[in-house]
Amino acid sequence: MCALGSPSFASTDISERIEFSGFGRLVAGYLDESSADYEGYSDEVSFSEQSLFALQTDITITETIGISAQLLAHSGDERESGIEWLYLSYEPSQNWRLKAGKLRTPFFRYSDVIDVGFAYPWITAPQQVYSSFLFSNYEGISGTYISNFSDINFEVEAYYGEYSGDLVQDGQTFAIDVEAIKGIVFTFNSGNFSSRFSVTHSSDFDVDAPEFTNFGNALESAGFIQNAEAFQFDGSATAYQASFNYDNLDYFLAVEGVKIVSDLVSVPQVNSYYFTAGYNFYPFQTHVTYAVSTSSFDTAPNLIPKGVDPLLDQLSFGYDQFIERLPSYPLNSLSFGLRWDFTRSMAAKAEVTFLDGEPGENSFFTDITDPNYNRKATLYQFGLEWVF
Amino acid sequence: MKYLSRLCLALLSINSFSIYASDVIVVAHTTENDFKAEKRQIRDIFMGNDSQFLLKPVVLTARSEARFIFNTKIVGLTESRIQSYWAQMRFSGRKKPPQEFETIESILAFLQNNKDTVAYLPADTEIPANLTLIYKTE
Repeated sequence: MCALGSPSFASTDISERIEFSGFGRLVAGYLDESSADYEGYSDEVSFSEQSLFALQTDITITETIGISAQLLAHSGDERESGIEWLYLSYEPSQNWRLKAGKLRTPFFRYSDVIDVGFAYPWITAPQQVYSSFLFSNYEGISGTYISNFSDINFEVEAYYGEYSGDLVQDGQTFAIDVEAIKGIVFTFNSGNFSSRFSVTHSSDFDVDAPEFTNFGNALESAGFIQNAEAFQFDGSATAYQASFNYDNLDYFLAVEGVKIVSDLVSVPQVNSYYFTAGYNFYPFQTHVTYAVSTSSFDTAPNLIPKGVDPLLDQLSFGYDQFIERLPSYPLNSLSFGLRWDFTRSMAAKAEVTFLDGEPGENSFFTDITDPNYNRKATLYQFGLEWVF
Repeated sequence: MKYLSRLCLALLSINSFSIYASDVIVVAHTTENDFKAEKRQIRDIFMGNDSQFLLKPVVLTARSEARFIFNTKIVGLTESRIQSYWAQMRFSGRKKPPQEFETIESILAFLQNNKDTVAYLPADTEIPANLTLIYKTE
């Protein structure tokens, strides 16, 4: 009776050179608010916002060279299904890992595994940090140096690439090209303690938003270069991250802070962090997570005079209106979650999140139907996570 | 049914752990005969964090008692936290979890046939002549 089979990561494959693995999640969510949506959830139970399935193939070509691909099918409206990762890897020694191809952008601690719910305690990772302000992947190269200094193991990863795809802001989707994405990630671990620090700089944006660029050109030809810049996407965004984590048999503590500095109207400036504390009573785990964010846009003060010329008035009021309409993301949230690893490769989760935004602002809420809505809501989620 | 049997296994392993509170040994196929490792180094080897020794770790499946003891005494994490960790490592293309073996006999055979490999085993396992004991829990 006690003998049972369980799927294993290192399953015996048809060929030893090709390994298949994958992950999936089925998530149901309900928001107790009729005046707005949050992360796609409304006051009707939805299974389609975060449910997904992915298949990974790792092909070993030689002892040091391999090819990996990850195909993902997503049920959410704002996410496309397709190839998430496709890269060639070269590991000449235990100290070096080099990759080239389509890779996930490792902005923050869980950015490159944000679809792998099995890898983290939450159902929805704190949106204040993990909302897609930027782009999830890039095409380029990445090099990692792995070593140790006394009792501390460390990794330094540097990457460079470009992105061509969509950027979603406040429910609006823009086609963008980012020519230069540069990043560096430092990871340290010693026993049950780990930390991570990263900086990602992206510049040379090309955004397909004619209404913005036309307005920008009009401002420029009227001589208001400073005010025009914002609409021409001629700027850069830099994301800074720091996280600390401690894990043992009984409990875990994690804190991650993020700062995005940007002079683009397509990327807000964000300050956010979360703090998570959890307790393990195997096969169960609980967590409490508190997360906070504030945001702003670095736009130039309106230099266009009013009351001088009707055309200038139009530009000046247009500029004010545009700045006024830019979304803002102040949000505090408190989550309580329970995870049950009922097999070694499957976990069930339940999570309740109390959201407290700022009246009059977006605060990550979308489709706000009542302007007087107080930006408070409770999100209930149930999820099933698995890996194979 | 599957859950029942798993629960039964969990109870069994907790039970046997408390009665025969036992230890694990870490055994390597290495050319260095007087090679000894520290607890921290053993943890690093099995969590894929080792860049010093060139030893390939292999492990017993999750339902082995030795694994439970190893997780508790060396890694200091529950099996589910370890599985989460490997999911993060594998699906971000960083590293893969160690190959698993069902039985002590099969893992010993693998170690004997492959140089520069390492595994943990129940402390009462008889160590074949060409393998070296590099660590023992206390």
